[in-house]
Amino acid sequence: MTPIPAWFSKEEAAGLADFWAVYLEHYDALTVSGMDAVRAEPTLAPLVAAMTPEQIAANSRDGLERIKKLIAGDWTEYIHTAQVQGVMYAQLGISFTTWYRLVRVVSRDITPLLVKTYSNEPTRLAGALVAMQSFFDWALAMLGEVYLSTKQAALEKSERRVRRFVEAGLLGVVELDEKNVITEANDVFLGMVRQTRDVVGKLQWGALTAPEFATIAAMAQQELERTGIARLHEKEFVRGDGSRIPVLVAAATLDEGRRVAFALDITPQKQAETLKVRSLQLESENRRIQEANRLKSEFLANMSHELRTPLNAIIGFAELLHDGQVPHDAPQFKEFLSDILTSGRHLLQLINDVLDLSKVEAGKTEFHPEPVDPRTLINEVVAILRTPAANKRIRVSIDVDPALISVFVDPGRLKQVLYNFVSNALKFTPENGRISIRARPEGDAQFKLEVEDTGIGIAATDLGKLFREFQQLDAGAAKKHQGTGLGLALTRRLAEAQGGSVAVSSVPGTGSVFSATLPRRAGGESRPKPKRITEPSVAPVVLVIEDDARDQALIVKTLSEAGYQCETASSAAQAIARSAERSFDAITLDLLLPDATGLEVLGAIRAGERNRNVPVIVITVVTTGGAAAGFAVHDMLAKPLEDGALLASLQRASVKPERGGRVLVVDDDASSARLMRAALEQLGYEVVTALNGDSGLKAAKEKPPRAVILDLLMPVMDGFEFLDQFRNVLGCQQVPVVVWTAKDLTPSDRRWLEVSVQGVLQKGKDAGGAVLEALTTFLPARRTT
Amino acid sequence: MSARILVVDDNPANVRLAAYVLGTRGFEVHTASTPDEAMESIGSKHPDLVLMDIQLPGTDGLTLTRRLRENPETQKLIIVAFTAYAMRGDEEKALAAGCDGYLSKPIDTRTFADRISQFLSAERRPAP
Repeated sequence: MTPIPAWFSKEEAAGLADFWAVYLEHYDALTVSGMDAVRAEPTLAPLVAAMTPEQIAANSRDGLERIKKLIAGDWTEYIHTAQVQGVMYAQLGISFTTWYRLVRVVSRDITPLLVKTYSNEPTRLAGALVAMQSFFDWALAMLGEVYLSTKQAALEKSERRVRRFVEAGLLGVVELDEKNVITEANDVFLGMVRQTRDVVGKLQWGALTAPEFATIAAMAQQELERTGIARLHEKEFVRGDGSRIPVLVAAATLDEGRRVAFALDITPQKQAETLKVRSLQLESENRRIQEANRLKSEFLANMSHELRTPLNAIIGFAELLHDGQVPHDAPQFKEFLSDILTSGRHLLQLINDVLDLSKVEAGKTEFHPEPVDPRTLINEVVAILRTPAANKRIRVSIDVDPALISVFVDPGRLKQVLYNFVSNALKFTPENGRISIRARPEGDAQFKLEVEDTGIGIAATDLGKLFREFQQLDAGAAKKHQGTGLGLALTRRLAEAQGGSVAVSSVPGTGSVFSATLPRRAGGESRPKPKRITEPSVAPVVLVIEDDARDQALIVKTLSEAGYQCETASSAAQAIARSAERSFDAITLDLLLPDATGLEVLGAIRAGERNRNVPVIVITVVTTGGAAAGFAVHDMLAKPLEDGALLASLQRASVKPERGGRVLVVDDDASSARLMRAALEQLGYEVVTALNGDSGLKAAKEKPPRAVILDLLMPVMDGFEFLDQFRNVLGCQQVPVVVWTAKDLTPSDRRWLEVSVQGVLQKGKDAGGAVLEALTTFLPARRTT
Repeated sequence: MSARILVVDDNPANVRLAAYVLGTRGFEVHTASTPDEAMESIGSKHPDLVLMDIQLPGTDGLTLTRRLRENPETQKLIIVAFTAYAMRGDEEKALAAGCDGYLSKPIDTRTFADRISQFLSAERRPAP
C-alpha cells in the first residue's frame, strides 16, 4: 500500500480521510449536487454543458474508481500526477498546501450539499466529482492567472530596476533596427557619444565605431547575427565633437531583427590602465637607464684601461729615452722606440674606433649609398689586406654569386664591415690557412657577405661576447693579437645602422664564419660624385702577372710604394685579357701559371696590338736561360726577389715615376706642417709651408704648386676661403688639393669639398701615410720616356 | 743578494718597460705573460715580489692573488697590483683580493723602482 504522499501535512492527511469518508458515503448525491453546483458556477458551466451524458457517466465511473483507489490508500496513479502538479505549483510559485486548501473549501461547502441532494444517486454524484475536478482545474487556472500577474509584477519590478540602472547614467542603451540604425537611445548614450536626440532614427550604429576598431566591430556583428548575442568587447566611439571615448559594448537580438546594444563608458578604467602601462613603461625605462648607466660605467672603465695600457709604454719608454736612461747604442734603444710607435698607433686606432662607434651609436654616421659591384668592392678590400695575407701565406678566395650583380649601399661602410671581418680572420688564422669570402643574395631584398676562415675558432660560450665592446676573448693566443676590442662591435653597429645584421658561427679548432646581412637597397643620402678636375694619375702602369697571392702582393706593394700603378692578373687567361684591353708601361711575368706556360702568355701579349713592345720582366724560380728564348724580354729576375731588384730593372727600362715639384702645405699647426715637410721631402718634393690661407695664396700666386695639402681651420683665412680664391689663381685651377684636417666635417662641408678637392683626410683618423698615398695617387707623375 | 721581482703582464711592451726599469736598478727580474707562466715562475724562481697585472688571459690577476694567498707556501709573498684599471674603487678591489700594494699604469719610471723597494722593505724583505 502506498502511503499518503509526504507532501501532505499531518493535518491535511487527517482531513483527507474525513473528506473521503463523507465523499464515499454521499457519492451519488455529491456527484449530482456537485454537478449542479458546478453548473451554477458561470465559469464552469460551459465545461459541464459540453459534456455528453455518456461522458459524464464515464467520468463518474472513472472518478469513482480513482477515489476508491485513493481510499484504499493506493496513490500510485495519482502520485505521478500530483508530483507533476507539485512541480508545476512550485514553478508557479504556489505551494501544494494552497491548492489543497482551495480543494477543501470547495469540498466543505459543496460536499454536504451534494451528499444531501444526491445521496441516492451515485451517477450524479460521480458527475459532481468530475465537475469538482474541473473546478479544481479552474482554480488552477485562476492560480495561474495569479501567478502570471505576480510574474508580470516581478517583471515590471525588474524592468523598473533595469530602467533605474539604465537611467542612473551608467549604461548607454540603444535599440537598433535590422539595418543597425539607432531607433531609440537613452540620454546616457547620447551624452556618451555627444550627440543630440536628433540623430535617433538616422544615425548608423557602425558609424560611431572608430576606424581602427572596424575589425572588432565586424566580428561582433557576425557573432550577433550567428548567435543572437554579441559578447562584451572593447572599442572606441568617435563622438559628435570628433573626440574619442573608450567603451565596453554588448548587443542582443530582440525580435524581428531589432537589436538592443549596451555601451559602458570605460574611460576611468582605461585611464587606470594607461597609468599602469605608463608606470610599467617608466619602470622599464628606469631599468633601461640603469642598465645603460652600468654599461656606460663599464665602458668608461674599459676605455680607461685600454687607454692606459698603451700609454704606459708610450710615457714610460719616452721618459726613459728622454732621461737618457737608455744608451743610444744599446739594442733596446730602437726596440723601445718601436714600442712607443706601436703603442701610439694602437692608441690612435682605439680612439678612431671609439669615435666611429660613438658616431654610429649617436646615429650621426652618414651613409651614402650608391650602386656597388660587390665583386669589385671585395677585391678592393682583399687588395688592402694582401700583404698581411701574403705574410702568413693565407689563401684568400672570393666567391660572388653571379645573381648578385649590383647592390645599393655605402661602399665605404660596406668596405669597413668587410675589412673588419677579413682582417679579423687574418689575425686568427694560422699560417697556410684559408679565408673564403662569399657574397650572395639573401631573399629578395637582402644580400649576405660571409667570411670563413680556418682559424682557431671560438667556443660556443664566447660567441655572444664577440660583437660587444671591449669583449676581446682572452683565451690563449687571442691576446697576442693586439686589437682594440672594438672592431666587431663597430661592424655590428654599422650593419645595424644600415638595417642589417651580423652573425657568427664557429667550430673551435676548425674555423669561424662571420657574416653580415644587409639590405640590397640601403637607405641614406646619395653622395654626389666628386668632380675630377685633374686627369687620373699618369703614373706608369705595370701589369703584374703572378698566380701566387703572396708574391703578387709583394710585387704590388713594392711597385705602389715606389709610385707605380699596378694591375694584376692571376692566370694566363686574365693576363691575356688585360693586355688586350690596354697598353702597359711594363709587365712582370711569372713563368709558372696554372692555365698556360708563361711563354704562351708572352707570345699572346706580343702578338697583340697594344703591348707589342712593352718591356717584360720575367720573375721566376725557373732560371734556365733559354726559358724565354725567342721572345725579347727586358729582364729575368729570380725568385725570391731581392730588395730593389725589380725597381732597378724598371729604371733600366726607363719606366719610372717622376716625382718632385713644389707642394704647398697650408697648415697653422707647426708640428703637422713639420711632419708633412719631412715626409714630402723624403719623397723628393720641394715643400713650401704657409701658416694660413692668406700666406698660402701669396705663395701660390708666386708660383703655382704641383699640389696643395690644406688644413681647414686656420686663423686669418681658413681653408674654405683659401680654396675659393685659390681656384681663381692663374695656373691653379687644375692643381690637386688634399684636405688634411682635424675639423669634424658636416655633410655640407663634405659636399662642398667633394666638388673642389681631390681628397679629404682627417687628422688623427688618417695618418700622415694616407696623405702621402693620396698625393701620389692624385699627383700627375709624368712618365719618363 | 738583489731582490727577485716577477713581472706578470700580458702586454709585451709593458713587461719590457717594467723589466728594464727594475733591471737597471739592480733587481733580478723575471717575467710571465699568462697566469700559468706566473704560477710556474713563482714556484721555480721564488720571487720576493710579484707585480701582478689584473687583466690577464684566462684567470685574472685578482683571482690569481687570492689563490696565492690560500696557499701556505705563497701566503707571505709580496704581491703588488700593477694595472691599467685606475678608476675609483680599483685599488680597494686589489687590496681586498689580498694585494699588498697597488700601482696604476701609466707608471712613473723615475719613482717606480723606489716604490718597489718601499714595498720590499715594508714587508721586512731585504732591499736590493
